[in-house]
Order: sequence, then structure tokens, then C-alpha cells
Amino acid sequence: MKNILKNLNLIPTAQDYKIWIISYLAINITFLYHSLNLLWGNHDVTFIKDKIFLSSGIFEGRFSQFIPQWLLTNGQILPIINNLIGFAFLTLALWLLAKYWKIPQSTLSYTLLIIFAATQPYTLSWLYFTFITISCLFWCGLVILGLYLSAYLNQSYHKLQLSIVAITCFYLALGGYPPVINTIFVCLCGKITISYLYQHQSYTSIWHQQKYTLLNIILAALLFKLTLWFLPPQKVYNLELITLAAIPAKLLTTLKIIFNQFFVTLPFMERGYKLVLFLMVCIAFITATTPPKSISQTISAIGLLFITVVASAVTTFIAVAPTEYVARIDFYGLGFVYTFSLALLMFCRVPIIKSLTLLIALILIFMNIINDYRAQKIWHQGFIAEFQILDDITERIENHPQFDSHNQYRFYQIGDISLRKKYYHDRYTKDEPFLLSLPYLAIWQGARLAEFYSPFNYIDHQTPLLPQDITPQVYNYINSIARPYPHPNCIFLNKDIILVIYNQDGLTEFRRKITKLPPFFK
Amino acid sequence: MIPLTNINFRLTQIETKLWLSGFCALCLAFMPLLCHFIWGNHDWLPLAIGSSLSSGIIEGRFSQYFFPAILVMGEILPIANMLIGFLAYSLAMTLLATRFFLIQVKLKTTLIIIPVITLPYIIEILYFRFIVLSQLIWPLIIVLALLAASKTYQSPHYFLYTSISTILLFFTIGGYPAAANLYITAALLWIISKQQQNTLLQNLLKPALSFFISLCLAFIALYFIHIKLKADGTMLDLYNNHATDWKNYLYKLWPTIIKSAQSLTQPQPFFNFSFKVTSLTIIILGSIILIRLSPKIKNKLLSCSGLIALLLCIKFSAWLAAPTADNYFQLNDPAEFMVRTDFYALPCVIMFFLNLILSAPHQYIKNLGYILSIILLWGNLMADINFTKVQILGFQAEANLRQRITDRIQQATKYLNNHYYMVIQTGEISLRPKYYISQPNEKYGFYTLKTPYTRYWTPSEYYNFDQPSPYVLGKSTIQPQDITIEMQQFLAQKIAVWPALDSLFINQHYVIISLTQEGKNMLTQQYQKLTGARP
Repeated sequence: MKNILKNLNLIPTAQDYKIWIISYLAINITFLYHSLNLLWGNHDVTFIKDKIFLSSGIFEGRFSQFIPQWLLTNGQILPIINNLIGFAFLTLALWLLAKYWKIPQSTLSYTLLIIFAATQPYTLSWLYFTFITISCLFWCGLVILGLYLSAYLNQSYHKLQLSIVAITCFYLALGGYPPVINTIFVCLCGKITISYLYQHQSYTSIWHQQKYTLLNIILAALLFKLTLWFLPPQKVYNLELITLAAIPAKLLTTLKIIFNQFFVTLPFMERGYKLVLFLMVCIAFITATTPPKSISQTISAIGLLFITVVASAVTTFIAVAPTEYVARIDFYGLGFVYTFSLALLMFCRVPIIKSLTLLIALILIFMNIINDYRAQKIWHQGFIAEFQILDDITERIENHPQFDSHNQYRFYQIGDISLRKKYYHDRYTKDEPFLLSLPYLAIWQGARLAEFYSPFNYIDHQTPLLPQDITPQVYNYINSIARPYPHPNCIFLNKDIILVIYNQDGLTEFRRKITKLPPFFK
Repeated sequence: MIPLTNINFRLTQIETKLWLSGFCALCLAFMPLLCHFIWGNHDWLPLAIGSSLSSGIIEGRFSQYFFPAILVMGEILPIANMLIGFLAYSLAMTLLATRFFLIQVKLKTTLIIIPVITLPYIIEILYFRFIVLSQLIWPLIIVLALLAASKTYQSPHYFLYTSISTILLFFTIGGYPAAANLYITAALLWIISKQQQNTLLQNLLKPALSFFISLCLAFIALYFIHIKLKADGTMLDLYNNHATDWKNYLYKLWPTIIKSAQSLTQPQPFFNFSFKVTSLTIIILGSIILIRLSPKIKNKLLSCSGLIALLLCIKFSAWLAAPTADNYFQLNDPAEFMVRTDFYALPCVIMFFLNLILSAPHQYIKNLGYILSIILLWGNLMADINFTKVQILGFQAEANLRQRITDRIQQATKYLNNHYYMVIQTGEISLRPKYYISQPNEKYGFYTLKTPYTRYWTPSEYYNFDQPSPYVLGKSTIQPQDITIEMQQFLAQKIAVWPALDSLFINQHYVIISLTQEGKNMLTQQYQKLTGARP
């Protein structure tokens, strides 16, 4: 085993330990407030109380999604440790990426690259849902390990064994979260570009080195599709792929998105921050393509850089669901393009560029950390505010004269309230649900939320609201009496059902829905 | 003072590293609890007004508040109390490993110390904030007492070291008698290991006698102190300060050993089946190594007898105690399965056997030891952090309920501001279990999981806690002469269970909250008895 690791150059040195510790501490300090305060997203309500099962992801084709959580914490979501494990994986993944790209071996360059990549606000999107934090940060490491091993295949005596491990890495990661394919291609294209530009390898030698990588990725993708075929998932939005006929139109749209993604601002990633990032990309690409190089080399370099950027939108291109400008998808794509740009700058030997690289990296890390802390503050404020409303609602339900804690009610939440936005005052061009607008008190989790802190179990979770529940009394309430929270009439309770009205939009929508019901009350 | 100058008080560099590693591991395992200020159901009053030096005398624990009084002025402080406690406890475990069991200091020691320090037996200690500091310092004092007694092995100053050991032990058991479990368990393990190394028995007799004399003298002194305190009327007869009759010790011997063995396998909340399997594997494997490595038949026999005696030592406090069989606490939290007494014995036992495994002559056994150590550490972290999560969520849920009850009382039409009420809360709701996934066959876990943060007999403590002006009187019993017709109607007819509107009654003097069905039944039964007894 030791020999294999030695051949793969994977035995950590004292310097590597130092890099790990510094980077890991810095990443944890960046997200410390989140780690210390037990915040959870609206998908976590059940899991935080109970646990995640190994098979929980199969319904949406994510058959391996919960393997890491299940193995490490027996499926439990635990405060602090959830983030600690996730960040450990992320640190290792980025360290391996730095080795894979062979950036100049120094503690400073490695730690800067790791800290910059890990603290980008895209990482926040994996902290909102605690139930997938560990796995989704783990997949990065797994695919980079797959790429790393594949790159060693042509010089290894253990081709078959390494291939199997690499394919397993890609396969498990794709089975856990398919958009990780962006990371695979950005990192692979980045490797090819760096090999060509800074390690002066010819296309032929690059092909010899990377042909196994391509083969492994293809095999893993085929296995993934085969598994989906054997485990037919439910028809869910996030597994739909575009048809062949739709490709030309989607290609143009995707190219536009690829360009726009550098300028579209998201919550906690405002104009100034995006411009500094874009400036870094520009400087990196210019230094990589400027003479002394032949024209053909320059054209090749531009082509490779372009392909690397394009690779960040593979998911957007192939998926039917809109995935553009979504932080959790960009975490696997655009975030790695930025990291690649910083890595490119680190290869440059011109003194002024070296100084500039250090300056840009430090500025961006500082901006990352500030943005991350702003997000953590706002999330916490939103969390507290929304849960205060939940507490108020629960109190009103339990204080209702007709409430019987032994009864089993069918519960329906009409509308929701999202309060993180209330504490955010900057402008952005594209809303990002996970970073800001998604409520903690989601409509579809209303029943579980109402019982979360309650001493009683009074909701029938098996049966939804039934058409026959809309009695004349309920119909009259909805159309004439009901008002959104905090009005006293925001709650309706009879012996069968509990209705809670959170906002006017939800109420209007619900009114529209019930008009379609048969007029049994006439 | 000459003998004391021979003792190296200064920690070596590696000991310091071990100490700090253990401390950091503890901080990591309980980080959420450090950062969330949560307190147990005994802590409301000490949190509001602090504890005096003499607060423990009521139950005979005269030294219980010594360290809180001198270190934090008797206050429950967020973070500080736990951090000081963690420092003391990790130092105690480090010294126990390096100085008492003389475990060779290298990587192996880290693999022993960290899993042992983070063992979840500590969780029950952390439930109560008012004693967390003293409870975590007692192991350090005990280890010092053990070191003093073990010095008699090769020192001419027999009397001095035995006296020091006795005084330290007496001081500790004066704060928490069950802490003696650590003393007697570690002493026995020390003797077992020495005889297994074929040390001449006559050489062992001196320190063994020193351990025994210290233990006996400390308990005799405690016995007389209790008699004096009871005579003065300052100490009350409570469920936890009864010792069994002399004649019963023999009778209780075998049942205690059996229950001790049972407790090693019985899953409890936060001590799931896999934890029990791992810890038991370490103990059994270590025991086998101990017996196999004993050079002669005589040593093997002595080791076997020592191991049986160890089962008694682990539950030494349960053997001494005499709780009544139908006692509320004995039913819910039997002494033989009490996690906070295990805290004083089992970490030491696991440390001893883990060391034996990691020192085994065969590499494959050592490798198994490393694996067991890592599995144990990971399991500990999961259990500890799960405990903190359950605490945080349960505390929040119960705080919400308490706020809801307060709102209902204060919004009642008959409620008067700046007026004192006697609050009768019947029943109590514990919400920590709601956030815990229990496994089959788990038992007990009274303080680790089941007891609520607010007990029904102390409503003034928690209902007044965060109010602008207190409104609840300290007493909470209904005087028969105060029962009005309106209250009679409520108790006899209207009374319902929370959150029904009729779960609350309020008049000029009383607030009655019928929180649970059991509580309601109890109250109505008492009322019926009272009215039945009336002419």
C-alpha cells in the first residue's frame, strides 16, 4: 500500500501536513459562526430529528448520495461535526487538485489556492441543507482523486486496479450529485491547459496521459446511466436531459450563459466582488496567452482556456431544468474556473505578476470571508425570525379552543414567509434560493415544522388535505374570513384539519385551487 | 518537606502535549454545548443567585462547592466552568496514564488518552452546570491521592504518603462519595498490573495497604462527619446519602457484581450497542492478554480474581449505597447503571486495558488495538455531539413550552401584576427524547435524556427566572382552607390537560396548571382523598 501511495506521490510530507492544518483552520474559521449555531434548511426538518437512510436519495436517482453520511455519522446530522467533516473533505480535495495541476510546490501557493477555492461564497450553498453538506463536499474530493489516479495510469503497472478505483470515484460522485460532472471537466481541461502551457507537453503526450481519464469518465457515466436504468427513479425534474433536437438552441443559450456567468451578480456576490474575480480571470488568461509563444501556440492556448471555461456549464447544457447562475451548480463549475485562474497566475514567473497574484489572492480571500460572514449573520437572523413566527403559530394552534392534542389533524400550510431577505440590503441581478430567498418554513414542511418543538404529535403525516375537507365552513373561511399572518384569522382549526395562512399570495392561490372543487356545498 | 522534593511536579513536554490534546478533544466533542448556554433542572437557582461554600452540606457533601467557590465565586459561568473542568479532567487522565499506570509516552499514549477522555460517561456530569466544575476536578484530586499512595511502594515515608492520600480522598468523597470508584478501581488495576509483572507480593503489600488504609480512613471520617452534620440538623436524610447496613454488604456483594457485568452490556441512551460492543471487546481482549501474560499459575489466578473484584470496584458506590427499592430515582436511575458514577471508574478501566492491548507482544493484536481505539474515539465523538444536539433542541423546545405557559398565565383575566401566586404545576413534559433516536433494548438514561429541564416541584425557580418581576411563590402546595368553590369546581369537574383552556386555573392566590394526564390524575386523586376525608 505504501509503495502504491509512494508511486502515486500521495504520501504526505511535513509541508503537506502544514498546508492541511493552515487551510483547514482557515476554512473552519471562515464558516465558524455557521458551525457553532445549529442552523438547518427546510429539507432538514425530518432528518435533524431522525436520521438519513442509505436509500433516501434513490427516489431522485442519487443512489450514493447518503453513503458518506451513513458511514460516518450513522446518518445523523450533528452540529459542528457535520461542517468539520465536510471541510476536511474539501481541504483534501483542493490539496489534491493543487497536486493534480502541479502548481508550484510551496506552502504559500497551496494554502492560498485551497483557502481561496474553499471560501468562495458558492460553498455556502452546501451549508444551507445540512443533510447533504458532507456528501456534496465529499464528491469534489472523489472526482479529483479519480482524475489524479487516471493521470497516473499510463505510467503505472497497476492499470486495471487504478482504473477500477478511478471509475468507482467518478461513478459514486455522479450517483451522489450528477452536476459534479462540471468539476470533472473543468479540472481535466485545466490540467490539459496547464500541461500544454506551463509543462510544455505536446498534444500527443497529453493524449497519452489523459486518454485513460476520458475512458474512465465515459465508463463511469455509462455505469451511472445503467444504474439509473436498474433503479428507475421517480420522474423528477433534476434528472431530465435535453433531447437531440434541442441541442442547437441550447448550445447558443449555454454560450450566452457561459459569458454572462462572470457578470451576473448573486446574493453575497455583488458587482465589486464579481469584477475583482473577472479581473483575476482576465489577467490569468492574458498572461497565459501572451508571447513569447508562436501564433499557433497562442491560438491553442486560447482554445484550451475557452474549453475550460465552457466545461463549467456542462450541466447547464445537458439538463432540462434551469441550472444557470445557481450557486450550488456554480460551486462545481464556475468556482473551479476561478480556482483554475488563480492557479494559472501562480505559474507565471514574471515578478510583477507574482506580486499581483499574491495581492489578488489576498484581496479575494478577504472578500470571500467577509461575504461568507455576512451570509452567516443574515442566515442566523432569518432563521431566528422565521422560527419565532413558527413558535407564534404553534402557540396559536395549541391555544385554539377546539384544539385537542390527542387528535390527528390533516395540516395544510398556505404560503410561506422567507425572512433572510429582510436582512439583506445589497443589489443582485439573479436571486439565489439557497443563499437567500428560500424560506426555512417551507410550505411542504409545514406539518413537520408545526410539530418540531411541540410537546404533542397531533398531525396525521400520512394523509394530505382532502377535497372533502373543504366543507362549506372551510370554503367560507378561506374566501371571506382568512387573512395572512399575523392576523388573528390566519389559523383555521376544526376537528379534522388545521390551516395556517402565511401570506397573501398563498391565500390567493389556495382560493383559486378550491374554486375548482365540485360545488358540494351548494 | 524532603520527600515531596523527590516528586517531579513539572509536566514533561510530552505530558503537556497529551494534556492539551485531551483538552482540545474534549472542547471539540462538546463545542456546541460550550457555545450554547444550557443548564439542567437543578441549576435555575444557582444560576440566578450562585452557590455558597456550604450549599452541599444539606446532603452531606461538605466540600462539593469548594472549587466553584474559590475558582468562579460559586457562579455558573458560560464556557468558563466547563473549560476549567475540562483542563482538570484531561490533566487527571494524563497523569493517571503517565504517572500512575506508567504508560510509555509515545504515539500510543495519544491513542489511549484521547479516546478515554472523550468517553461519553462525561455527558451526565455536563448536564448539571452547578457541579460540573467540582465533578471534573475530583478525578484530578483522586489521581493525586493515588499517586501519593503508590509512592509508598518504594519510599520510606510511608506515613506521610498514606496521610496525603487519605486527606485528598476524604476531601473528594466529601464532595461526591461516588468519586471513590476511581480510587478503588485504579488502585486495584495498579496492583493487578504489578503482580502480573511478577513483583514480589511482600513488596506489593505496602502500597496495597496504603490504598486500603486511605480508603477506610477517608470513609470512616466521612461517616463521622455525616453523623455530626445530622446531629446538628444541617444535613438531611436524602435518597443519595444512605449507606447500607454492615450486615448487608455481604448480601449485596454478588448482586452488585452481576449488575456491574450487566451494565457493561446494557445499551443506554447515548451508549448504543456498538459502543458497548467496542468497550467490552477492549475489556475482554485486555483481560485475556493480562491472564496470558501472567508468568505463573499463581499470577494467572490472582489476575482472574482481580478481574472479578474489578467488577465490584467499578460499582463500589452502588455497593455502599442503600437506596430504597421503590425510590423514584432508584427506579429511573438505578445506582448500578448510573452514568455519572461510571464516569469515575470505566474510563480508567478502558485506559488500562487499551494500554495492555497496545503493548501486546504480537503486532496483529496491537493493530487490532489501534483499530479499536479509533473506532472508540469516533463513536465517542458521535455520542458526545449527539448528546449536545439533543440538549440544544430539547432545551429550546422546553423553553418554548415554558414561555407558552407563562403567556397563558399572564394573559388570564384574573392575573394581577405585582402579585404573588402559588403555582401548582401537575406533571411535567420532557422534550429531549423527542430528538433522540433510541435503539432497541436501551434502558435508563434519566439525566442523560429523560428528565425535563423543569421539575414540577420547583415552579418558582423557572417561572420567575426571566420575568421582569417575580410572581411565583416558593411554596407549591394547596392549603385545604384555601379551596374555594370555584377551585372545587375546577378540580372536580372542569380540569383538563394542557393545552386545553381548562388546563389552567387562576384565582387570587393560586395558579394551577394541569400539564399532563398523569399530573391531572394525581391532583384529582389527591383532591378526592381530601374531600372524602372531610366530614
